[in-house]
Amino acid sequence: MYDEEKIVRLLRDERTRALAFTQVVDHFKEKLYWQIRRMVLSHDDTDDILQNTFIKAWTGLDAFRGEAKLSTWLYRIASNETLNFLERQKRKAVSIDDQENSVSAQLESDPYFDGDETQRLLQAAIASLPLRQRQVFNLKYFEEMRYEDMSQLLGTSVGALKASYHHAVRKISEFFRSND
Amino acid sequence: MQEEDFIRQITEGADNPFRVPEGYFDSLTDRVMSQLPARKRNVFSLRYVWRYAAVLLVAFGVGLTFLLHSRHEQRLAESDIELEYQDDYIDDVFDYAMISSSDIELYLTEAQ
Repeated sequence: MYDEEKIVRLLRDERTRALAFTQVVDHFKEKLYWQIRRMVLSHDDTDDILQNTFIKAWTGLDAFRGEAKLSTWLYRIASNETLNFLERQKRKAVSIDDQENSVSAQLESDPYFDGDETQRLLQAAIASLPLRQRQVFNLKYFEEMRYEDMSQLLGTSVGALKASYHHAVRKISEFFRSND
Repeated sequence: MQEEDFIRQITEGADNPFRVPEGYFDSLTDRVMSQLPARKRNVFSLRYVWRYAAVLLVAFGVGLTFLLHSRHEQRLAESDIELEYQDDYIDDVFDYAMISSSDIELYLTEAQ
């Protein structure tokens, strides 16, 4: 059974740190994996980002003061790693059309994606959103996360998150209507 | 929210379309743990010892110079006071013996 208070205590002790961190990885790996995967789509990229996330968490353990929950701290690291990766990827893409086409083509040839045409379109629509809106949409629509919890994770006000989600939904609807 | 319902209707019945390689999550923890770098221990670096020693030496030197200088000043002031006391003492002795400077001058002239 995962006990955050106990884990944090064990993480602070040099002798029990590695063992406690094994439990942290075990507990959060799937949740973080899906949050990253929905943003970057490719399994291989997700795997790289997830491992970097845990490595950064491990090397930066002294910076974790216990003011936020461990899950919030880990999610923030994962979120930063994901956004940095997507920013780098965006700089490489020539235009937005290129990005949408590449998302659709990428998913079609991805052995770890077995969605139909509608699913591919939905992912392409999500990928066309600005990064922050994409993040908010994924957390709300797929994870059904409460705005209050999202606010803690992303450090943004509830009002701003609601507005982001509203804009994202409207853009995705328009995307589908224009591809009808 | 109408537009959200619209999206849900379109993608209705579609499960999570993303898959992972077989056994991926089972081996993930071991893989992550084997890649963790050794954590840096807080070793007291010799380079910092030299820096601290140099700072302490400079501080000691400045302190010592200040101390010696103030002692020297104090000694000069004390010797001035001592001379003043000696002059006062001789004047007092002459006053007590009721001998003035002119008496001494007269005595010395007569003695010649």
